[in-house]
Amino acid sequence: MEGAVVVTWAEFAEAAPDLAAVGLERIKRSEIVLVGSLRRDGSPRISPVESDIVDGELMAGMMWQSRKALDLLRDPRCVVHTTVHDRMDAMGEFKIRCRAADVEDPKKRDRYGEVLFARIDWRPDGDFHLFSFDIESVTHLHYGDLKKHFTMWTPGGGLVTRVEDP
Amino acid sequence: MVSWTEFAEAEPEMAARGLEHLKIPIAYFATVRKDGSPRLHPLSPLFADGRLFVSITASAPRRHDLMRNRRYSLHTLPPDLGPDYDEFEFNVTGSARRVTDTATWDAVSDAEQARGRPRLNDDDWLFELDIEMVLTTVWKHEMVKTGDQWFPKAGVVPQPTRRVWKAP
Repeated sequence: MEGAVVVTWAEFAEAAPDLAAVGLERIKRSEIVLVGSLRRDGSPRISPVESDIVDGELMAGMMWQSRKALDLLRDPRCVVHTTVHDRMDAMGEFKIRCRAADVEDPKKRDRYGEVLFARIDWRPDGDFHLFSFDIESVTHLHYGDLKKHFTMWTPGGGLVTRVEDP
Repeated sequence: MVSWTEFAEAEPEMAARGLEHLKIPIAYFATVRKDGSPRLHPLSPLFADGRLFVSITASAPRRHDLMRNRRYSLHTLPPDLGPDYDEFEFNVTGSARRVTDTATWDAVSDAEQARGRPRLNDDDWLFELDIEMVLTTVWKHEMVKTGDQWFPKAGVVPQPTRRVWKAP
């Protein structure tokens, strides 16, 4: 768990702009991403959440004391996955392995509120959890020309691309 | 832990709506990786003989996840937006069990073929999903039409209606 190199969304986007553009399009289009977290007993949990990029950080607000938020406070390891709608969704799967960091800075929380309000005309007014996702690796998998196209980016290893028969 | 049929007998309404959504046909499946972190991927759940299954291709490293830690979580995606849109989530949690007997294998393959989909490959790994808990969440939105698309009305966040069923 220690020692994993993590970066912000902005750092990832600077290093791999084309891959980040695909991810951004997916996140904005579906508005909902799925977050995989770990329950207290170590078994997996899936939760749909709304996600925004706020001043270069990938963030998600969660209801106060919700189970998924408590999961992430206990163990920050998580995966953020954009939604796909059918087997051969042309845009493919975009997934980010990350560490969720609890955002307590009032300025950052306020900026999140502004970005959220600009998108959906609503922002939380009471207590809520806010997480910033620090990125460990990004994977994009899509199908085209009857091949499976796999792209992976890590802060240490850069971009790796592979084309395989499905 | 129970099979899908036992759940459906106990909670027919939840099961009927869940089945509709599980057949979309993509759902999300979470497992635990070797290092203990969560893994998430889309797949098509399989049904045969009133039992719920998933198959994992022989080349996927995730097939080993369930041999080390049988715990899974299966989650449906919200339906497409439309005038009667309800944001409906269906979540199943439990333990997966690898199945290798020919009768079950054939039953799953036959059921898939009947739905117009490919039969299992010989080297696929087939798991039956035993069910411990089912959770449904419905967010009833007020829908508005913009152009030819329906969207949830902005500025309104509905309260979710949740229902939990736990296997006896």
